[in-house]
Amino acid sequence: MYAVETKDLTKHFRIGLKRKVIALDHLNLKINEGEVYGLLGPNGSGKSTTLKLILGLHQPTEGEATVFGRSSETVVSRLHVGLLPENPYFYRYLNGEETLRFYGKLCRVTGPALERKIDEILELVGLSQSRHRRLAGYSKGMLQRIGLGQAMIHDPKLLLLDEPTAGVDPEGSIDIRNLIIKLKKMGKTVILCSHLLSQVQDVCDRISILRYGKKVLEGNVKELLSKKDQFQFIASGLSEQDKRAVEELISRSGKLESTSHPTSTLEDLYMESVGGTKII
Amino acid sequence: MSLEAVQPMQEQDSLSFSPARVWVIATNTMTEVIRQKVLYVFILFGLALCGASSFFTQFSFNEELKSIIDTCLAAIKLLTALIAVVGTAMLLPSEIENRTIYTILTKPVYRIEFLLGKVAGMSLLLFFVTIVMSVLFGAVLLLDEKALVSHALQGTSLLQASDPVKQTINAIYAQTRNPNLIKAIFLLYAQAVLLVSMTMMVSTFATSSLFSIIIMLVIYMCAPLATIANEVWKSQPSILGRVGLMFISFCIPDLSSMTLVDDVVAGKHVLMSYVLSTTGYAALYTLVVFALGAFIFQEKEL
Repeated sequence: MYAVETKDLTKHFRIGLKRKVIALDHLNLKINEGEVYGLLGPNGSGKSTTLKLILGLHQPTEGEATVFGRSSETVVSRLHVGLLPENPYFYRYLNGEETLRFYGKLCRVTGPALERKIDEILELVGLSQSRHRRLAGYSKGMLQRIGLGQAMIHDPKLLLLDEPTAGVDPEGSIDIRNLIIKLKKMGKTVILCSHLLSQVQDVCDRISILRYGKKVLEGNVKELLSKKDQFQFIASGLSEQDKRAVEELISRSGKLESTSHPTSTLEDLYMESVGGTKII
Repeated sequence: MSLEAVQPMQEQDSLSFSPARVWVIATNTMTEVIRQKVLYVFILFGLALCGASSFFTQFSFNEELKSIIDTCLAAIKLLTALIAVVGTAMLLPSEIENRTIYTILTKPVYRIEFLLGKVAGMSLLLFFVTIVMSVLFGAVLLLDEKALVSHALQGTSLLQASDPVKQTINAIYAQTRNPNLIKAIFLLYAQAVLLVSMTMMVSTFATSSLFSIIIMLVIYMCAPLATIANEVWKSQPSILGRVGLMFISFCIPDLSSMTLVDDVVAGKHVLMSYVLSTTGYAALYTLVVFALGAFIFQEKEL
């Protein structure tokens, strides 16, 4: 059984009486349990529509979507699903703790188990110090963190994260990335929509790229990115003479494409400078 | 830091309607409206109106008490109707604008539970507002009653008072301790709940809060038409006229039947059977309108 499966999932939106827009065109996806799956594409490519169809917020024009084998149009399919919407706001009049309690009760998590879970999640998303502060006073990054917290309050098997790092500082962004990896280790399925391609590359097992509502590419991230006909050697302490010898050796049966010094990423440099969380 | 699993939800093929989830949404809705400052403005306005009515001293005790009852009941009617329409009209659009609706409806929550929670929360809040206003109204009446009785007795005790004075005092009590006042307040509350349900139904297809408020304002203004249509549709000679008036009497609730302010002020007796039948009408109308709203909301794409 797949965590999420879509069969010819299609969605049309009517504009006026005659015009219609095809938001999603016969999309077929099979997302395995325990997989981190990236849904990529430019704005308007159909990513959000796909999420809304999987969550039953929209009804498909054609085709169907199932979540753990249940039709996405049934409420019971949402028993094991958690969503972090893009740019969430939540109830400004509630504080962090009250927000999690509200969502927990909706999912029938009650009593001491709920209180324990609230403490645990606030700690996990780094909001323990702000638990009694109203959400009206939260920064965008803090709202994103509490959003992630409410998505996890009932310990769902599937998490849908729509731009989870939007508005979050680099350190927070790395925390979220580490959290996604931790969730994967726990056997959770994560569907990630993000424009931060480096993050998607780091955490996703498989991706699919949508364009104009159609899937244009799908596959394993490592396989898609690897250039199978090329090799990369990284060496240190090599003398000029030995370097030339290696170049000569390569030119015997192949072609030397380029030689350069490997570089660090800006993210690594930033984290070294501010002394933040290490990337897993 | 580990992420420990809570007791996993049991695998199940269906999910039953849950009053507990409705209650969670209802209490959250109450908190939402209570923490909006506009509510306090409305309540202060209502309380000020009730309080100020005690200064309406007239030439006779009869006129004085009538003006207090008239003002206080009108304040309760206006305040509950305003909170019901404005408060409810803001609920659904703000949920959609802030995307909180996504986080709720993507949890195992039925749309009807969500809508019912919103209506129940507003109705509960209006219940407390009606109670607070009624208590203040009662306090104003009791204070005035005390002042009027003491003025009538002019230093003598009730036992020593002459018959005309006793008659005056009994007439004062008849107005201040009139059970019809409670019946009138109860029906005003029933009217407010109906307005909540109707505003929620309009909200399910409205494009903004303002749109819902305007539609409800039109319905509120046209309510007397429903009373007339109700009375005359059967006597219409043409079928078209009969159908047209019947349509009006069905589409616009007969709010006038729930407003007994003038009758109570005029000293008319309100029969219990009238209160029961009007409550039944309000409950049925509330249910039908809610069911229609739930149907529209179920089909709505968010």
